[in-house]
Amino acid sequence: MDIGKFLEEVAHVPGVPGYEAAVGARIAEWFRPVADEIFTDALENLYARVGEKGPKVLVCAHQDEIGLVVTKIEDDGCLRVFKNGGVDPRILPGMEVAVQARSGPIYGVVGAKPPHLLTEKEREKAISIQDVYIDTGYPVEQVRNLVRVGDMAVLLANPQTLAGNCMAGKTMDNRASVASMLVAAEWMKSRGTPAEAYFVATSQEEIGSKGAAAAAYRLQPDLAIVVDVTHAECPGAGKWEVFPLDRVAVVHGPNIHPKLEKLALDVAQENGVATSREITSGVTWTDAENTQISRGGVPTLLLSIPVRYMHTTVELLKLDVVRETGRLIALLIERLACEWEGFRWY
Amino acid sequence: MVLKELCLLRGVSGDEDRVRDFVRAHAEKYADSVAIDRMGNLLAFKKGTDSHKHVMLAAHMDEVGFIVVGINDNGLLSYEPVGAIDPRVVVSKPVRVGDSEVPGVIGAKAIHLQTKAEFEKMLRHDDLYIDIGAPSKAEAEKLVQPGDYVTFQSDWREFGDGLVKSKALDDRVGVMALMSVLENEYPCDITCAFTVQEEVGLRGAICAGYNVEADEAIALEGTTANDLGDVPDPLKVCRVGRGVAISFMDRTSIANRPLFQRLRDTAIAAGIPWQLKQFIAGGNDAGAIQLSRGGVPTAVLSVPCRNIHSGSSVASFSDIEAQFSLVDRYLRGERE
Amino acid sequence: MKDTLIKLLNAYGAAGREGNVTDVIAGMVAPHCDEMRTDALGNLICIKKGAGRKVMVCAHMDHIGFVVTDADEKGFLRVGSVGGIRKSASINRRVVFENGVNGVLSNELDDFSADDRKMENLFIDIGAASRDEALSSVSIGDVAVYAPGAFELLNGVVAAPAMDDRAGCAVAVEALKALTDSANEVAFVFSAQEEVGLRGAKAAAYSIDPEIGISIDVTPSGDTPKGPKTAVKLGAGPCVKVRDSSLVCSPKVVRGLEAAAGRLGIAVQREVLTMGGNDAAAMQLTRAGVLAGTISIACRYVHSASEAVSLPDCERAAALLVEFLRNPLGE
Repeated sequence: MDIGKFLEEVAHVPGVPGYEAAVGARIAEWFRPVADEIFTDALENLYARVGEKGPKVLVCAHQDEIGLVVTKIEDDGCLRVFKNGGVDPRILPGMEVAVQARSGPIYGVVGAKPPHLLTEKEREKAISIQDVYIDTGYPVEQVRNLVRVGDMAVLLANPQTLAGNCMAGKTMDNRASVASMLVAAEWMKSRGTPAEAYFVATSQEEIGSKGAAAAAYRLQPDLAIVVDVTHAECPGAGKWEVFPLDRVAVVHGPNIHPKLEKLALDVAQENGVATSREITSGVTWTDAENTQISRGGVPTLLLSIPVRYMHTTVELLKLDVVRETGRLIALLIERLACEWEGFRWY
Repeated sequence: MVLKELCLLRGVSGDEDRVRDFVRAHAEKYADSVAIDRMGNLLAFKKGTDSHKHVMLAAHMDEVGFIVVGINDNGLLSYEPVGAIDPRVVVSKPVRVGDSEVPGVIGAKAIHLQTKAEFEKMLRHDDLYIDIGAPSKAEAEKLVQPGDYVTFQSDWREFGDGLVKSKALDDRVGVMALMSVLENEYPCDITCAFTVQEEVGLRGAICAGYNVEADEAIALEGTTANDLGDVPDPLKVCRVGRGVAISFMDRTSIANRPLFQRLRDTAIAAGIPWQLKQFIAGGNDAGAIQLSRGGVPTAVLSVPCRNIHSGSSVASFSDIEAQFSLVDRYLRGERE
Repeated sequence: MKDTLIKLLNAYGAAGREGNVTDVIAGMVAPHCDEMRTDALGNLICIKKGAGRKVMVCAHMDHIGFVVTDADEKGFLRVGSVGGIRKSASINRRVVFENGVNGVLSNELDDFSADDRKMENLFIDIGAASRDEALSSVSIGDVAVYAPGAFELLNGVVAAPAMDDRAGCAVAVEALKALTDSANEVAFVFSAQEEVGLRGAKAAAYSIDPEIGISIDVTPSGDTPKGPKTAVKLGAGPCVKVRDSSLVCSPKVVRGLEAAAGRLGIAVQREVLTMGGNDAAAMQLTRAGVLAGTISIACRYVHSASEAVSLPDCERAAALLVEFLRNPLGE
């Protein structure tokens, strides 16, 4: 598959937490050629099954993106907003957005009080979400006809291809991981791997990994492989909280089953997949948090694709890493399928 | 002595294997069935002589500790706490790193070298390092690696009037109580759930609660006793030496009223020293089990521990004994 | 509606101690449902059977309060909070215990902390002269609540403690009584321990295993001087919640509620709350996921002793709920 093309396409399909139907449908189209079955659920998770016998594996990557929700329409027509997912308000001034209104998307620009009108003190403070507004360019009567309190808004950005096979854009967190799932699915399908894998583009990860909780409960998998993004090396970050841009990180810590982790590292080494290790000390703030404690417990692995400038519209990563992550997932499932007879977790 | 052996075992949240193996060897001798679920909890079931009710008892095998996140060029190890550890209790303490238990220390800049401002600033874990004596990264890598779990190094020491200092009294006291329960016969069916990862979010108990369908559940814990020093009475929480602490409410559960009353009445009738836990703080496995499936009545019995979540936690043998006596008497009376 | 509401407001019901409210509600609804039971968490579950979709309605019975942790030697009681108590809304208020004992909740004047959630310098004065006397009237572990006492303002506005969420319970009770011809199976859950973390609803939703879940709760209005920054107003109709800090309501439920309102010709307000939480979040995350949403009742002075709602809003909320239950997804 053309990873760059996938990322460019899905970046433009809206899917803020709770409102993922549209992006789920688009992702479904990409999985259709390889999936044995495709379905959704009450939380708009998108499931694509490949294979039907052997270990039941849940592979998940969240499809939702951070965005905004309209809280109030002011008398001058501008829209007050709040975050839906972890938006850093400091990236908002000047941001182009699209309000998802009943009649269709409405283009807008985010504004804030101009600097020459700020007091000395105000200028020192970081911008907060109450300070910004969306300007749609319409007079208030028309705004009131088109937009309602509670309408969602997405950030707009065109992905940029950069040197070193890098891409920068929005929704790398976490549709890049969805891309890696697609790579894995294609691989599995072409090799007929004897496993029953459910590739799930989960919903509402950005507001608490709710889709993953529902999906794990529904599927009752033997194990879960979660793919998310992590912070890539960049200036100003703490030494141990960033990872090399050019390789997938295999996560270690209480949220990860040690046996799965070891298997992943072995498989990676044997097959020339470059990895780094990400050490965590508790819950990982990803879908892995909820898959691990589903029902009576699901052994969970977390793989992280390093991304710079996370939660901006210029999230930057290396496309090779997306491909290698997908390859690792497929190889790991293959290994598990081979060793599944008599496999024990403890 | 079993409690001493338990406390000295390494078992930071996520790395409970040794404690689980120790418990398993014991459980397999006495329980009717022993299973390890997919979260790593050990569930030991014992059929009752009367079997009218199924009671779940929970104690967590994990202790707070640290994990190595990286090795610096100068050979010092950067770490993060696993579970809640106040940075003020780790300075100037010895630790053990990894399965080989490599000795290390969490040092601090000598007082002579500090400026006044530094002296008054509170230290955070980010400011601290584990020093294993290695002069360089390469040397350190021969002994340890990122991802190694780290425990406090703390000898077991009996002192004062029936007190003991050790690491991990929270919650090896509960683990031992459950191991003792397994040795006896009771009217009701019992599952002793030795849980994992309580200290990082009650995570083992969430799964154990799902796996065990019980009529009621009691968590056996270690809880904070803030009873010395200049502490106003209402903030003491509970007091060492005054008996097992029965909770009516903490931050993760409100005790089931009838169950709470039965436990309290049992203590009074049997003359077992008991007290109330008098501060709404902390969480424990009962909080998770209470909300499993369609809900379960829960209560909590705790041993008061001074300096909990440090290498020098302190408890009284009489309180530890009282915790076991109360749960034992309660179970014997459960004929309904 | 007014009658039901006042009766519910007068019943004692702190989080974890909802027994009295349960009895009052059970008395009101027993003749109108097919099955009624309570569970391990103290929820009251009332089922109206049907062959169609399974829907759960949830309104919480519990209310915030002060739990007694100690008594000092002069007879003053020390307390901790149960749920989101705001100190600034509580000082020098009359409080009452389950057994009827009255008290004044007040504070130490020295070392007073501005942190609205810090309880350490609060105390309850029940008029006792010693620790023994105090503890012979109330026990450690007892919970005091703002003393009940509803009063009416103009324009159908009623104020009292515990509107959060007896107003929701009243709406659910009236809807339960009015729902006579639904093909769907509806479980009306009067939940326990919502204020301490949506606990009752979590357990009840698991047992009931609904397809759709709808909670009824109050929400802060923005129509008082320099009040909360929200577009919600008293008297402008029931609110269809889009999100709060505990959930983003399922778009299908939002549309279903708006369609139901349209069929009835009732004006509704779309609500976005930038904080807060409610039982719908617990329902949404149950088992393999539930389509969940909330009907909110605009309320001034939430988590104070004078929570104020509009009775017409409550009446219309009940009508909206009934219509939604007949046809939840606008089919």
